[in-house]
Amino acid sequence: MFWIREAQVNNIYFKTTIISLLIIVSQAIAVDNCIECHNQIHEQIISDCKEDAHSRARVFCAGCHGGNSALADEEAMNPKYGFVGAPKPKDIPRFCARCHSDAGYMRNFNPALPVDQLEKYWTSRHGELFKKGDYKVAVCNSCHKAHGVFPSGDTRSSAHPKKVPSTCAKCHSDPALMQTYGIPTHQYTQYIDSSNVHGYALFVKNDITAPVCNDCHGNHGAAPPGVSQVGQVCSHCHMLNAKLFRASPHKDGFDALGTMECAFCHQASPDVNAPLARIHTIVKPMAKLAGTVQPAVCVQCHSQGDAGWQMAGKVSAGSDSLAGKFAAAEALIKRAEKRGLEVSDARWQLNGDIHRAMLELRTAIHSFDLEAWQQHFDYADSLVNAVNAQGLHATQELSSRYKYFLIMTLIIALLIVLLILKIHQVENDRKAALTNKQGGIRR
Amino acid sequence: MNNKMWNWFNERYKIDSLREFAQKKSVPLHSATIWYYFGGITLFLFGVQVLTGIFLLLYYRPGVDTAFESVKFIITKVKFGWLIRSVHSWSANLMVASAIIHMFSVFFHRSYRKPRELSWVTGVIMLCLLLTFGFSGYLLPWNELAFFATKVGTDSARAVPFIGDMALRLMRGGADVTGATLARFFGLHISILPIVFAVVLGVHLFFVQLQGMSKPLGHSRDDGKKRSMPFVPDFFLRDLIVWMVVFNIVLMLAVFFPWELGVKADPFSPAPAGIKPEWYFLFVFQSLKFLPAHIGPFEGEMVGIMALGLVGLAIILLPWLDRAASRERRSRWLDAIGVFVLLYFAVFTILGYVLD
Repeated sequence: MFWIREAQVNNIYFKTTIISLLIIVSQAIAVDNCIECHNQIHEQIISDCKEDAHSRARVFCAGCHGGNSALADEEAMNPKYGFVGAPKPKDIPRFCARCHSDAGYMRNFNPALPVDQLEKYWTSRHGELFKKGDYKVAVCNSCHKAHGVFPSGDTRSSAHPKKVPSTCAKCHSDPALMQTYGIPTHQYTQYIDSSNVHGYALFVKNDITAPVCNDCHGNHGAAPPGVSQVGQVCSHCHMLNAKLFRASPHKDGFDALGTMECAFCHQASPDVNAPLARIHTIVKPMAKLAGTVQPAVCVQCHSQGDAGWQMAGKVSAGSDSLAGKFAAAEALIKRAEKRGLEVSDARWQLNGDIHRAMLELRTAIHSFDLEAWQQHFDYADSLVNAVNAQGLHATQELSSRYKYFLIMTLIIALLIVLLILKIHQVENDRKAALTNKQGGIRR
Repeated sequence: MNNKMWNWFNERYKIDSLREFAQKKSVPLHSATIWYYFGGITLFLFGVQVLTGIFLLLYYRPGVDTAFESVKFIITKVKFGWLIRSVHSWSANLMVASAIIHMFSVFFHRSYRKPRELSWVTGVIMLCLLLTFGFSGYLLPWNELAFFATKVGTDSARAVPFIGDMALRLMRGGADVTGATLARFFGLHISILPIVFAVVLGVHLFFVQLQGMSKPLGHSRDDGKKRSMPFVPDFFLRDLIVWMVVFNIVLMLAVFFPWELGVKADPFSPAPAGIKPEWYFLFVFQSLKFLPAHIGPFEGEMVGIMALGLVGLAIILLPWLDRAASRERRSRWLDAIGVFVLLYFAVFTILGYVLD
């Protein structure tokens, strides 16, 4: 009897498959009456939604707003069909979460998409205020838009890395709005400042891995990191620097002063009296940040004669000398390349090994251990010296080439003179022979 | 001692007759005598190529893993290796230039007219061989530019009707430019071409010796004042002076503008911008670029290649096509065509460099 049961089961599968196919086909050919009627009054919205993430997942108007899109009159918007219309700001987080917090439902579209946005939102400063009844704060559509929602990797998305700073700035650069919360509004202008290494990487070098607002503050759980958390945030990318710093004597000192770890020294024009003044302009790391004269940051805390001052002086002097040697070696190699000499090995070292060694040297400063720094310095210095020697060798090679060429030219010129003399001699001999011959004939 | 040696050889090999032949040979003197030197310059540069090529062979190792490295070794580690390689590359380019000038001078002087038809044919064959020398030698360092230029160059063979695909596979040793292409280009460059070239050159020189140097059209009528210069030693000594000057120019180019090696070819990397063939192929490259995708029912590139083939055929058959020259008359039409070809070559070569 087993085969009979199996046939019944197969029959059920067959029917289910046919019905599913019919539903899919009917959905595909069904006319969306929302668009048909709202085409004129909501033209922009319809256009925005045309290719967005929801449309591509076949979630059309009724998917969010409810109603029956198969009906062609106002009956379509009867609440009995679940019509909710445009949600009010106070309803938006939960409105979006109906789908986006439903792991089972979201799996149908993108199993990799997180479903904890609402949970995180409640922990954010936005969510905290929202819960207190402040509905001016950012909700889902403030950052993602209500219509025309794209995945954050899509350049059309307002949450794309290159758009995030301006998206956040819509509210955070609005003095009237921010005044309510006592929040400064200079973050965006500081971020897009050309001296901000992160903004430069993002906008000028088009490096979308460069950190934007949400990388440090979080996205759905956005909140400013506390003073003690800043180093932790930076360490996500700058691991080695953070590791060395935490093991250094500066860690305890900064903690005792209540100063942010990384951001204090690396912001533009750090000032102990206003430690947060330019926190969103992180300057390009350079050797000059360590030293005893501006723009070195050490002078903010260290005074002349103390151990830190002395170390800063040595590091600064070493860095300056290395930078000078590097520039000289690079100039030699560049000159050799320009003259057509094969110095690709030296170029490889300049762009590879030495670049890496100098990066490690800059990183080693964060240990604030002169001996450790000196080891890295000696290594980088030896590499630069080796390339410099190659550059000098190339220069000598060039001069010897020119010298040999000059000698060869002189030899060739001499040969040419000898050949000209020989031609004259041959012609004179021939003339003389001819004259003698004619003379002999006359006689 | 010298006399004894001379007598010893002369007794056995009749060298005297050769000397008498050489002494009888004369070079016509006229306002266009200077153009005679370009044949000699091409011959001299060929000698430089053979010599430097042999030196390069001592260190060059063909193969995708060794070719680039061995050339790098030659120019960085081998004593005067950079000079030999640069002289080889510069001399090759000057040789092609000199051969082209030689060919145009022969054309405008109508020196191909009866009885020197076969001297012209062998000369055109040698120019083709020189271009093949250049094309095959360009790939040998296996650098990025050469790799992609060879890819583009061999790809145009595809446009030849009926045998295009077969010719492409034959040239590349497969569907793509690989180590197999390098191996056959190397074999062609150092073995097949030199042998064939030497034979054709021998025949060409034999014809020149046998028939003497042609006087340009208009100078050949006997006006009662036959002006000439003995080839040995007068013209030969002047030839030597010119060769010395050319050699010094080659040295200067090699020293002040050493031939670059570039970066090693990576078949998996995308073609870099600005891929161009050697200058003597640039006018063809540029012409094909200007052609539309389709001309009537045919592909534009195919029409271009076929037109080029017809022009090549017309050049070879020129002595028989130009009937006026054999009657000692100058065809103005042919002069105009010659000037047009020269201008076309110059303009399209410049465009090839200027345009992207």
